[in-house]
Amino acid sequence: MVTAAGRRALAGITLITATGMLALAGCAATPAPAASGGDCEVRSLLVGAMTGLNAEHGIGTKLGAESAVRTVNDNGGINGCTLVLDIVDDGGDSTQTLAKTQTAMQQQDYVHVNVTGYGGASVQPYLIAQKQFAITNLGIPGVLDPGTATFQFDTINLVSDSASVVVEQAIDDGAQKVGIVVDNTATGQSLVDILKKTAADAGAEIATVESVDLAAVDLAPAVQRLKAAGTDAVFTDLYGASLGYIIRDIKAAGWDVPIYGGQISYVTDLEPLLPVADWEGIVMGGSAGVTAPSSTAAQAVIDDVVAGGDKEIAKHLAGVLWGSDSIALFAWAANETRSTDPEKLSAFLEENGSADAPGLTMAANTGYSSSNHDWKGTDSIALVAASPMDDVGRFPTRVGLFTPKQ
Amino acid sequence: MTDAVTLALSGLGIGSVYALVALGFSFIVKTTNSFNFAQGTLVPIGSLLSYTAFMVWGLPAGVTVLFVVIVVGILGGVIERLAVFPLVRRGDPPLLWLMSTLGVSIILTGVATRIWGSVPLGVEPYFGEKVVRLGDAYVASAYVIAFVAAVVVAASLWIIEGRTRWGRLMRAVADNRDAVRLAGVNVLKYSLLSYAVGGALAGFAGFVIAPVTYATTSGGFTFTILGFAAMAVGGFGNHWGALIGGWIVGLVQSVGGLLIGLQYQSLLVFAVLLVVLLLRPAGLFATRSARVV
Repeated sequence: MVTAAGRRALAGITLITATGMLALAGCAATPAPAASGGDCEVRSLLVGAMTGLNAEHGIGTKLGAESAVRTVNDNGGINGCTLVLDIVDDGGDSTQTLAKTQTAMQQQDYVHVNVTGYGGASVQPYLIAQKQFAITNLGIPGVLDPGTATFQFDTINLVSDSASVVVEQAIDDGAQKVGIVVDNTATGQSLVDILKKTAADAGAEIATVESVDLAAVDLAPAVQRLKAAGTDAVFTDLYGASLGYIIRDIKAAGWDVPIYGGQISYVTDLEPLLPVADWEGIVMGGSAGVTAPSSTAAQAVIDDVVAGGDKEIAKHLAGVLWGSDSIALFAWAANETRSTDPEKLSAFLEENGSADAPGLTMAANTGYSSSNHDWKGTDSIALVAASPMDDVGRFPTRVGLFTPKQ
Repeated sequence: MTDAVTLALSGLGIGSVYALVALGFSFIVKTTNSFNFAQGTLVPIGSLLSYTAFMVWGLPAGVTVLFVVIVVGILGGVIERLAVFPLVRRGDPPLLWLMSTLGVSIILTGVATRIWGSVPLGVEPYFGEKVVRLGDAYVASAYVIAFVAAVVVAASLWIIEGRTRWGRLMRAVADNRDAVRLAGVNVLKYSLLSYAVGGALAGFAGFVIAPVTYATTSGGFTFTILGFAAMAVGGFGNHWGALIGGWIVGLVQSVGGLLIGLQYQSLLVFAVLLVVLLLRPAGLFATRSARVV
């Protein structure tokens, strides 16, 4: 017979074991090489969600990075050495990203690092402390402080830029009380204050902000709170299944409210999750190069990934371009400076921050600010009416380009 | 008022899914005195198998549920044979079973990711509309199925345990394994059966919930934790307690999400769990044996 004490002990042991095993699983992660060869090697590390909640983004980044590595090595590598890409999966658990990055960096010397996904922001202080040259694709304001992030760069528009453009569009469409639904990670929270200011500047207000736990499956309470706050348009930047849940629960409530999506939402493939009628026509915004890969370089990366055997490129489009740009930018700086020294690489990018890097995709559509290490997409954000993408990742329905108010 | 009813129905619905997981936990705990940490992971496996059978192969819902329950039930049995049986036979302490089943859980998630990928996959409702409307209130049809199923399963387990020879033998094995073995009963067979039944319940929960959560490999740990919370709130080893515990967890999540926001849902659930465990350490509806030391 099991006593109450025994059962309590069982419960306690269960939870302790779970925590311990997860920690061990995280610490034991070993990078998996994606390419190798040559007499000398230069190593690049990519950390992100290849599985789990945010996997679409990580897989896309991986595909793009692998494509760019192939291109770099086909063109002589990095200063004559083979560029080797190591990939570490954080499982979509942002609490594991830092530990996995640290473990990988302790096992190998990396010249270039890209930590992407929801856990990316938490790793920046470590990268800064390590003086690690890094080109991430996070798009989170405040992560890269030019005063401290000397060797850290980012390849994508701030998600807050595109979110602001979309909220302005909602207000132009007549909304006066915009309800915000974002995730409760640093990425989602980075949008809140900026969107409040955007709405106020445009003469409207944010009715309520719903921060969603990415593990939640029932978002009906958020829908009720949005309705109770008098929301007349919903802006969301949720991603993956969570985006499907919020749209589903709005529709289930019979609530005919206009829905707008930001850059993160709009890279989600909604087709497997919801009937097209539930989401087609939702206005979403993002980097022009991702929204409609209009540049030759962007299309070349996509074609290369498709040729590499990934036929579902449409699901991974944004990550592909961002991941590719991180590698291309690094290779450009390294080959131009004939160096892998972080100081020289960073100085080169500071001085030459422009759209001139060969193989860059976003650069064709965005400017580059060498003062804060972020790509700034202030004149290149596109709004699209969400609709199924074709098999090489083109949105067939494009609404137009918008410039955020300065 | 309508909104409150909607949220209550929604909370009872998702709570019924937690209850199905908790019933699997409860059944295994009660009949083997062990805890299968892979139990929650079997829920998304059930959802993914439902996706393949119902959406890809086009099997009818009735055949799909049978397929899922049988396959995941067998998987539960395999877990017992690979991760529990060898340790029990050696007389290893329960801590090792916990670790081995947790290891199986991680392996299962990895294998599922290799098979189905990481992108969530939509599953159409098995019957009728996605949403059932009750006046102005509404609830996902999958939640209605989950509610009915959880009640039926709790009642079935209660009947099986109390009214059948098989059920009484399983309880006897849990109470005094050595005595039952001396009586000539193959006790290891009953442990296998318990894990298979627990697996079947998790697979069934995965089948039921797939149209709501999508089929994805990522929800296993959440179901494990919330299923465990449901069992702990309701009472270790009490099937009706597991059912009610699931409903309490679901309602706390839903109503708490409305009152203070979705980001604090988990905080509220575990605050309730803490209070229950402090006041009634064996849960609200613990069996007498679990309360008496």
